[in-house]
Amino acid sequence: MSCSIHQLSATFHLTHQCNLRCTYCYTGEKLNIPMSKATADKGIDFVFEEARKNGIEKLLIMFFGGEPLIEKALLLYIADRFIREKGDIEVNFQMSTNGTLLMPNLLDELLRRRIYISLSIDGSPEITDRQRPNAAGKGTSKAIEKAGRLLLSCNPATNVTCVITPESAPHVAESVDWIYGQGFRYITTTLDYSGAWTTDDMQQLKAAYQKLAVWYERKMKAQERFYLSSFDERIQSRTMNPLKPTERCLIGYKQFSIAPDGELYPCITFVTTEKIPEFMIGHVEHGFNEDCRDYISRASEKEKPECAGCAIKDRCSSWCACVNYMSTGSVEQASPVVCHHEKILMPIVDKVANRLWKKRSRMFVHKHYNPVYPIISHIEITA
Amino acid sequence: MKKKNTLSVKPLRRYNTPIYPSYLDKNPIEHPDTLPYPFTYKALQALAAAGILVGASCSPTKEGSNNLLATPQQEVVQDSLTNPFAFENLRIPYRPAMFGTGMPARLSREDARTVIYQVFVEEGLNPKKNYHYKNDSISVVLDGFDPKSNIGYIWVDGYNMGGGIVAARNGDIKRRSAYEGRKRTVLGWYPGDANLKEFEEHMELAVKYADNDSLKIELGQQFNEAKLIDNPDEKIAAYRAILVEHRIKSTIQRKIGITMKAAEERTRLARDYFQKHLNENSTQADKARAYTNWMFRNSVEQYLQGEDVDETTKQQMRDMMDNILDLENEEEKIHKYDVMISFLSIYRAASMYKIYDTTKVMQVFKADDMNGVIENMQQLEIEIADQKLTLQEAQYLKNIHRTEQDYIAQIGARDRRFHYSQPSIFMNFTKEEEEKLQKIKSTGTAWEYQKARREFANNDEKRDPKAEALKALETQVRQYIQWAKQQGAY
Repeated sequence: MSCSIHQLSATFHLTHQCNLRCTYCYTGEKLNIPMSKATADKGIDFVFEEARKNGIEKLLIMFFGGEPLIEKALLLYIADRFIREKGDIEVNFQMSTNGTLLMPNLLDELLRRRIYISLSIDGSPEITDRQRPNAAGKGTSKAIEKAGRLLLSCNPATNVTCVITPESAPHVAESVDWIYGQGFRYITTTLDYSGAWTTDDMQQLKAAYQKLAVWYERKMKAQERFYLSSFDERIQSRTMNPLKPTERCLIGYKQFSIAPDGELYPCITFVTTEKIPEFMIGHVEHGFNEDCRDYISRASEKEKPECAGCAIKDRCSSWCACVNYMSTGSVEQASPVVCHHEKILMPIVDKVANRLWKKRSRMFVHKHYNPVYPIISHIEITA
Repeated sequence: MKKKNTLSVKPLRRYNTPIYPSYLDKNPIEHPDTLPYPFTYKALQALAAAGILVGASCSPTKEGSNNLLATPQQEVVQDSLTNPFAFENLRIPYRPAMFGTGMPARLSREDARTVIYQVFVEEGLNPKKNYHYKNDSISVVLDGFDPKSNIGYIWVDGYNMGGGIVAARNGDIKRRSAYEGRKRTVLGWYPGDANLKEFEEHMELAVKYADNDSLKIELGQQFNEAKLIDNPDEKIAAYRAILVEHRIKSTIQRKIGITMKAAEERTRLARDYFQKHLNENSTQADKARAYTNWMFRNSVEQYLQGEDVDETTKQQMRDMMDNILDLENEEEKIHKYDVMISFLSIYRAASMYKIYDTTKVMQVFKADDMNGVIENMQQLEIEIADQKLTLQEAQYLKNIHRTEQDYIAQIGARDRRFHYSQPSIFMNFTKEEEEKLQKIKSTGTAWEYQKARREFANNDEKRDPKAEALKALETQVRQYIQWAKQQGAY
């Protein structure tokens, strides 16, 4: 996750409760512990104070859970306060949801406050039902599909997050195609980094990515506008200037999470029901514990000796502390899942990109080298 | 103990540097040849209306400002250029005319290819002749292709037109006659338990060879939905509903499908056979041998398609055919072939095509030696079918600029723009003369008209219709290259 120098990103974890029981969820037991209004107020004051103290121009406020829509009244209250009190600061909102509680009236309320919604869908109904059952153990694909249609009708540029687990790995291409077929044009795929990945799983994932490469190439040749993180991010890791350490999320500095009880964490990954004291970097009541914050930030930025001499080190996200933590239990150690994943995916992506470049694919050239492409394509998708 | 298949971090020591530009290279957007952003028409309208383009066209780099975004005017100019070789101009599926004296003259293969090649070169391209264009979906020999610019061409005439193209045209005529003036009935086909599988096969063919894309989609959707029905009675009812709605006559549809499929398959098989057995160094004798072997195999196979040939006989015939083809001695081969054909003639079905083919083969084989075979072959104007184009491939080439971003002009000998009148003293008038004649015809007497015709016919300064046709071809090819370049070919 990256932030520009003038942007601060704060995530409000409104509750630990969730109506789904995703097989890969890392946030621990689903307890009904919502954030109190008083904590929310303190959290808002704290964020404004941090922003003004550091001369921040842009604030990105994110809502997370559990499922944030369980606490919809609190969510709207927080958003309203930010809008009311923002002053000169530009405030943007984002929310990640499973969509099952999304109703037209509620959606209207969210859109009125310009809250950008990202929907979690893991692929075709079979995969979603298997990976994302509700608390009663029943599949939720129908409710999620319905939410997808509702969201797309309001915002065709809705982002979908698709989690790839060792079980769903062989079906990545089909999953992406299914999601695309539903009308989504911004697709972010991410691995279940805490999953028990094996080399066999990675081989299956490789075969699936090869299929996805064919899909990607076809779509590019057909001049379709879309964003697929697994491919586009890797191409951008070559076409765009790599992020300097100071341009990254600066875990705990330019980005932090507020847990339902007001505790501060460096990233959403560390906010779980089972508290992890070593990653608590403060509290909204009394601010940051600077020593703790500094230690975590330095630890995550440390050179990884295990990556020394790697030919794709500069294009890899081995610096991401939360992924490393999820995968190894330490922010200092590079994740073997990330390592294997990059080693199988990078050559596949580069091959496709080479082919498209050889053909001077017009869409490829503009997508990856034209600085105004993101704006123009967004307008085209939403037009 | 660590499991064998658990993951660990291992640096990648070697990695091939990708060829696409990195952030350290010059941004390709700044390159003068980079084409403008391919706005969708809808977006272009929306942007123009919102006035965003004006602002957006200001690039962050000075050099790139011309290429970064097209202005609406540039885009409109680009849209105004169209592909002069639209698929319809090929006028395929094609049915050869069996009779008639009023046929216009068509450009010869040699003349047309020479002109097209010259235009390509003049436009700064470097087309490789007889370029074997191959990917997962297609394998055709193009008359010219410049891999650097992704622009090429193929001259489509009787030489490289596959059997499927002819069969499809016949199919169209039959299909139309089957549809027209019929009542909305099932037309004799009743899918039931016994023939369900057969019906489904025929429906698949009907979908595949549907008249147009919309029918293909509609029919395909209805058929696929019906196929998913579990209850057999309901499924049959759904199938019947499709038949009623689209008035598909089973016998016609079956025949079209099978003929078409067989013709396409035959073209593909023949091409594969010749490509396998011949190469650039093959002599005319090699070609003759390959051709006769293929025709022999083909003709035998056609006999074997007869419904009254049982499986044992088919296998025996195929074994016998393989044995004959393996023979080194040509005389012995011819003799055994004769015996086999005589034997097979009892299975001969009343099909003109089979008799025609067999007769050709017989004529070729009846020569005394290989020189005779070659001579016969030349007399019969037999062409080696290693470059035949199937209908499916022609249709694939139609959209190849979208799927592969290659620009391949399919230029047809039957494109009416390149037809010309046969030179004749009665017809070979200049444009001015024709205009004058028209005027006299409408205002003067018949005598005056005939007199003028005779007078003009003796005029020495005659136009050259063939040169005009070649000029028209040249113009269209030049326009195609411009269009392709503007569309995205470099």
